[in-house]
Amino acid sequence: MSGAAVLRLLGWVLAFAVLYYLWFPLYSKLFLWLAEPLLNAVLLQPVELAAPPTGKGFEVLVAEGALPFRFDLFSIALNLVFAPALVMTTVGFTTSGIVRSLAAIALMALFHALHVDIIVLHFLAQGHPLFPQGVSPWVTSLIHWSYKFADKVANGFFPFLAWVIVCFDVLYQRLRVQADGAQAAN
Amino acid sequence: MAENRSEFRAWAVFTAVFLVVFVGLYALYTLLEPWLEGYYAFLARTTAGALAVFDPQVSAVGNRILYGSTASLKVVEGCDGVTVFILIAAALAAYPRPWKSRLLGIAGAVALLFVINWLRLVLLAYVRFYLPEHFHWIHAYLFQSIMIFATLALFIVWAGRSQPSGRHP
Repeated sequence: MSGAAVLRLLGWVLAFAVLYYLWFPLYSKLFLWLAEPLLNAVLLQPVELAAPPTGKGFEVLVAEGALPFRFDLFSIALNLVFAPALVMTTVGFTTSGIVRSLAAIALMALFHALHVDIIVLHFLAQGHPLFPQGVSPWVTSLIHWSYKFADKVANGFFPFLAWVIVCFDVLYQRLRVQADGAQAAN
Repeated sequence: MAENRSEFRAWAVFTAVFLVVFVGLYALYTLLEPWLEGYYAFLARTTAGALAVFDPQVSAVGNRILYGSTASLKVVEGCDGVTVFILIAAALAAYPRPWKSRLLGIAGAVALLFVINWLRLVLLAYVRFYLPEHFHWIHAYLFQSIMIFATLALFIVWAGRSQPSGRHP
């Protein structure tokens, strides 16, 4: 049973990895677009995020010009594949599974947008003139802490959290069935 | 309605415990980081030892794995596997099972992930020294994904096999 579930997970991870590879240019545009509103609000000016034609890193476009960031977006967002793969493994290839997978992908896009925001703010908070003056040191400390947190643990944390959010009712039901079975056996 | 409330409560407890344990262990990890150099050196030494069986040019100095004087690989934070240890520990701690099952699960899963991570380091060093043109994608994409997959697979196996608590979460 568990072995079959692991094989199913592997199959779905591979399937979503292929989809991710094919749709990454579109997906990166989506989460860069989602990352813009928070930066607009914090930096108090219109900000646009763009992936350069080379596909390496991203650029923060402001009135003063473009700030290049050399982060590998493909690597940062690769953990996307695990969230829908976990959902499909748990729920199965059903309408519910597909809807929940889409919800998990949407959540992951939000997480990746937040990750990009944190990267940009982390670097701007180190004395860049674009970063607002007079921000509490607690806030900048939180930004730096979040940057390190996301850098180190986002790979496993984001997809697991997305899965738990969209699937816990299913996990709970399964556990309850097992618990009821154990009680009946006793 | 009561069923929905019960499900939501179970979800909220699981998520809260997961987040608290995850962030707590992560905070502990960042506090202990200055003292992890010895662990990095141990990983470098044992990795070099494994490769040196086949090629005596491989050695280790501190946390660096050396290939003669031509190439090296440094074991640093992120290579240590600690972040996946934290993920599996938080997930298992939050899952509603008897505590004995959770603690045994955490110990077994962390031990297994340690071995998988060590094998990853051995293979990474091999690729770095003998197939350097493939190093970037294997390091940045393949092996990171394998570590996450192994962690999630262990969680699924444990959740499917360990004994239920006999009461609703």
